[in-house]
Amino acid sequence: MTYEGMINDIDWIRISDHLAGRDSPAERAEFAQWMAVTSERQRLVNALQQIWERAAEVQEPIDVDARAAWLVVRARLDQSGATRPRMAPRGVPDLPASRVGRWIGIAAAAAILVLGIGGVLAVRHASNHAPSAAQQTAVREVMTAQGQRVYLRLADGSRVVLGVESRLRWPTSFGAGAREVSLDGEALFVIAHDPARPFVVRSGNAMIDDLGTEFGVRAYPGDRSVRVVVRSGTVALAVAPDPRTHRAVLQAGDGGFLAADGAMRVEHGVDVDRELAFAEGRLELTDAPMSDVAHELERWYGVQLVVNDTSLLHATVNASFSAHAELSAVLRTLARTLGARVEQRGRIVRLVVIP
Amino acid sequence: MPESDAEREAEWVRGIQRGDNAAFEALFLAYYERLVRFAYGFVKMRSAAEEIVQDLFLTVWTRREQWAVHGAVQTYLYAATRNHALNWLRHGGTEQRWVASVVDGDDVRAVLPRSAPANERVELAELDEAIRQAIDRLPPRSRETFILSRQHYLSYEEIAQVMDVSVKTVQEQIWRALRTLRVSLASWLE
Repeated sequence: MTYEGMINDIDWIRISDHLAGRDSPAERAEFAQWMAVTSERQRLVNALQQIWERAAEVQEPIDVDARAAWLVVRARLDQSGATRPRMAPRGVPDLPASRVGRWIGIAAAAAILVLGIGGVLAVRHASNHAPSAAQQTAVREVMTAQGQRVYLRLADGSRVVLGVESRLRWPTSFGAGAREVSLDGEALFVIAHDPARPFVVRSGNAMIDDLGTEFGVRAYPGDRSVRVVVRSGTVALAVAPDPRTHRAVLQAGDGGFLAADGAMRVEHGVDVDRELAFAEGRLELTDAPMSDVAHELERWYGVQLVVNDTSLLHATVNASFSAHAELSAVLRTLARTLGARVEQRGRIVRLVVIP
Repeated sequence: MPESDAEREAEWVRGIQRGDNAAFEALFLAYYERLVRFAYGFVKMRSAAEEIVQDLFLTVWTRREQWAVHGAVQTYLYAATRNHALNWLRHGGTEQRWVASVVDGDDVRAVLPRSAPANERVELAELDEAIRQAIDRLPPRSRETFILSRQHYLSYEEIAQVMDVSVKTVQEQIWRALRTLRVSLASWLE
């Protein structure tokens, strides 16, 4: 710009002091005279005035929920006071893992996830409670909040995409035997196969043994069954207490479903990409009953769906959304599909039939 | 800051020193979001920014009896947040910090972007987005000064206290920020 060169540092101080309202009445009068000399000066001051004013409106692009955070802080205070009276809440400053990890107890954390705080990614580094063990195994834990997903690479080279509102626990060191992790929620595993050290996922009542492979596991609390979908390789799905008797081997393209009562069902030719869409950040609803839709919206967007109308309650939904889609767009699509309209108040979303 | 705000906040401070839970909650709710945004400007990671500010408040509460605030609590909180955030960065920035927390080669690589937030976000006008990005590209101290002035409404004197510099330095950072923004936003403003 040409006129930037025409004004000097003194002028810049004059302008910025004027914009900040720091000039005296006399200086203000002087400023008006200075500005009136050329139209370039006027244009410059006008442009700067715009920047100055708009800058107050543009914030960091993050959502902060002070109320939810207050609950976290209170839980941390309660916990440090009640269950660990001698431990200062600041934890052990020299241990980096504990700095990241000293969020809150698991029970408290679960409660907070239900309350829907965003951004609480907890990486815990806790010890198993048997203090006597010479081989005390440290356990790591990652939890995602609603709408949050995490990509992990484990020490053995395996990769995990942890879905929304999910929790994965694994030992800091896998040791020589089986590599065992436990999952609540949803995750995609891409396993570095090692025949000497089988990779085992424990989830709900299921034990899932990888035999060199890429597969997804889904077991949210309240799900009717643990669901395992195999993209490549071979996976053994077994019932946890006695993996020897109850066992199904799943190949690429298979889906295995293990109900809470131990009943197992295998489907061939499932739509693997659709089933594992969460790992790419897509929310897929396939013939989903309204109760599932409500659960998914809560996990992905932290809203509660309220449906009063019986015709809507029995509707099923087929839809595909990107994780980057705004909630408003998702709700619009959903409403249009169902012939309903959306009423949103804070975190409560109501679907109302259009008569 | 209006006198009444300052008085109310001073009352909260006295309440906290006495162990009054409600005063602690009030101060937390009044400042949490602002301070998280300020911390985010340094660490660029929301979970870390929230952790920093939560830690700060937890420290205030656990040491409430010895807690001494000279001057306005606002200046104290901003300065403390700033120190914590810079400290966090010194212990290895975002990526290093996560890797540093790794015990045995496990690596929490990246927090994938959070999907759209629960509440409706007002679409930013294109100019606003350009301004936001231009502010983001300012030299760090210039950026921090400008943001404290324009988005947190701190006076030059308060900014000087928070950043531990002279008022003259604040003034200079502000005009330099403006000059840089004018150049980078030239195509937007005619």
